[in-house]
Amino acid sequence: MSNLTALDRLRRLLAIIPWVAAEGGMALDEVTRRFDYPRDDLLEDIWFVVQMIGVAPFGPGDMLEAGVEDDWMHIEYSHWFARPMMLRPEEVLGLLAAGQSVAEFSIGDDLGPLGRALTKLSAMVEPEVRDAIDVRLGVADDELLEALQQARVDRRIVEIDYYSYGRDELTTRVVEPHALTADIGHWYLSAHCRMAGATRVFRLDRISRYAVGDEVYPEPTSPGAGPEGFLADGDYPEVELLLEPSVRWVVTQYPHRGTEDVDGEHLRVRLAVASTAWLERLLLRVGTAATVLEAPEGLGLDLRSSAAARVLARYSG
Amino acid sequence: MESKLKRLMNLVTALLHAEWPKTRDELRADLREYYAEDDESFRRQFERDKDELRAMGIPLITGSAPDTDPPVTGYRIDRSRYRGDLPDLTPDELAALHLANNLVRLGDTPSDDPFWRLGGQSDKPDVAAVAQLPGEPALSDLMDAIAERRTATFSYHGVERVLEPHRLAFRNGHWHVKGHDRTRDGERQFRVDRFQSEVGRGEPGGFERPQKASVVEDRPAWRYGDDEPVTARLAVDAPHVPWVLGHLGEAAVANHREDGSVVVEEVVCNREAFRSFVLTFLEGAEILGPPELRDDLIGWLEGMA
Repeated sequence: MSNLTALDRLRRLLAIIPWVAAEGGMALDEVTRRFDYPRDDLLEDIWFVVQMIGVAPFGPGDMLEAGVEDDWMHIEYSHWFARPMMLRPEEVLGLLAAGQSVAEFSIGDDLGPLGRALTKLSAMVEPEVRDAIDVRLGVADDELLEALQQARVDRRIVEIDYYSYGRDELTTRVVEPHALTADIGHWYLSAHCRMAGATRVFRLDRISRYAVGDEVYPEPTSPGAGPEGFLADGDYPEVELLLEPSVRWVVTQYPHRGTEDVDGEHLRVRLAVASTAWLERLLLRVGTAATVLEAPEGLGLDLRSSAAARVLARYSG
Repeated sequence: MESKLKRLMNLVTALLHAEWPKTRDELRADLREYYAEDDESFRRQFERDKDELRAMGIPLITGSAPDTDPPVTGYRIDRSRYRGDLPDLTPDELAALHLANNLVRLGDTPSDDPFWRLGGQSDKPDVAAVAQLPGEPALSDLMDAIAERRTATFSYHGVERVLEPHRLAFRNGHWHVKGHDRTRDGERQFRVDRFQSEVGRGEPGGFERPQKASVVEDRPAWRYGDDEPVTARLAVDAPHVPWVLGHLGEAAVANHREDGSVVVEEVVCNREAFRSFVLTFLEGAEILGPPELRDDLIGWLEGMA
C-alpha cells in the first residue's frame, strides 16, 4: 500500500497530465520514474481518477480521455491542463538560493549545466529580486574551503593545526578528507584522522593552518560522518536536561538524541557528551534555566559548580 | 482518498474552465456527486478544499459572480497566472538544479514539486545533503513578499512591525531579513527565527525597492538587542586567539599582549548573548570592563558555584 496522500497525488497529476499530453504519450515506466509515482498507484489513478476528469455536464465531449495500452500512457482532450502550473516567485527564489549556494562552494568557474540553469531561472524574476537572497552556509575561509574541497576530490592528505574546543588543546594532525558539510552556520570536515586512527569531524574555523600533501590516500571504505552523525554512536556518555523555554535554543544548536515536551513549556533533551569541557560551557551558558535530570557521575551539577568556581577564580584577583 | 482526489481534480478543472467567477452553489451543482448532500458538511468540505488548493500555490481568485444582487462571491483560477512561463531547461540543467536542491536543503524535506512541473526527472539525485538550512515557516512568505513587493507584518520583540522587505540572507546559521521598517521609519534587520507571529502580507507592488539594497550584516548576536549599548573589553587567552580573530576580525582587537593574548572591544546591545559568548571560553577569557558587565557575569556564576 502506498503512502501517497490525495494531495501528493494531486500535485503529481497536475504535472503529469500536461507533460504526457504534450509528448503524445509516455511509457508507464518513465512516468513512474520521472514523477516518483508507484506503478500500481499510477494505474489505479489513471483508471479511476484521470478518466473521470471533466466539466459539467460530464457528457462525452466534456471529458478528458486517458488510458494505458501496452504500458503506454496516453492523454487527449486535456486543454484545461495545456501547460503545467507555473513556478511561483518564491519557488524560483528558493531554487536560486539553493543553486547559488552550491555554485559558491563548487570548484572552478565553469559551473556547466548548473550555471546555465541558474541563468535561465534568474531571467524569470525581476533583476532586483535576483540578488535578494543571499546564502552563506557557514563561517569558513574561502581559501581553506576550496583547498579542502580540492584535496577531497584529488584524495590528497592534508596536515592541519586544529584547536579542539572540547579538550581545549591545539594539535597537528594528518587527515584524509572525506566530506565537507555545513550545519547551523559552520562548515565541518569529516576525515579519517591518522592520529586518532578513526573518522573525526573538524570545524573549519578551528583549523588555524593547513598544508595539502602530495600523498594520495586510498579510497575510503566507510562513508564520512556528517555533523548529525558524529555524535550518533554509543561511545559517549549521555546527560538528560530539562530546559526552560528561554533556553530551548540548545536543541537547535547541538545534535541531540531525543527530546520530549514536558508540559508544553519545558523540554526534556538527551545530549551526548563528547567532552567535559563542552558540557561545562553548555551548563554555564544556560545557567539555572536548565536542570540536570540525569547524568553519570561527575557530569552533573558538581561539574557545573566546579566550572563556575574556576571561572570565578579568574575574577577574584 | 480516491474520492477526495477525484473531487479536487474536478474542482480544479471546473475552476480553470470557468470564464467568470462561479459561486459555491454553482460549483456544488456541477460537482454534486463529489460533495456531501448535507449543507453544513458541504460548506466545511468546500472551505477545506479551497484552503488546500491555495496552499499548493494554485492562484484561486474571488470576485462577484455575474447576475447576482446582492453580490455573491464567486471563484475561479486565474489562468494567466496558472499557466505562466516555465524556464526551458535541458535535461542536464534540470538534473544539476535538482542535485543542488538536494545538496542544500531549505527546510527538512526538499520539495520535488517544482521539478515535477518542469517535467520530472529520470535519474533522481541520491546524495546526502551538504547543508540543511533551517526551514522557517515564515521563509516562503518572505520570499514571496520580496518578489512581489508586498509589505510583511509580524511581531518582533513584542512590537508589531510593518516591513518593506528587500533582502533575505542566511548568515551564521540563521535567516535574516532586511528592509525598511515602517514602524520605526528606518532600515532594520531581523532574525527570522525570532519572529513571534506568522507573517501577514500586503498587496503586491506595495512599495518601491531601493536602487541598491544594502547588504545583510554579519553581526554577532550581542550586537542585536534593546539593551543600552556599552563597549565591553574582553581579554582572551592565547589558545583562543586565532578563532576569535577569525570570528570577530582584526578590527575588534584593541591590543595584542606579550603573552599572545588579546584584548577585544565589542559593542554590546544584548548582555545575555554576550555573557553566553564569554562563557564559551570558560576560564580562558575575562571581561575587563565596564564594571556592570563584569558584575553581571560574576553574579551569574555565583548562582551556580
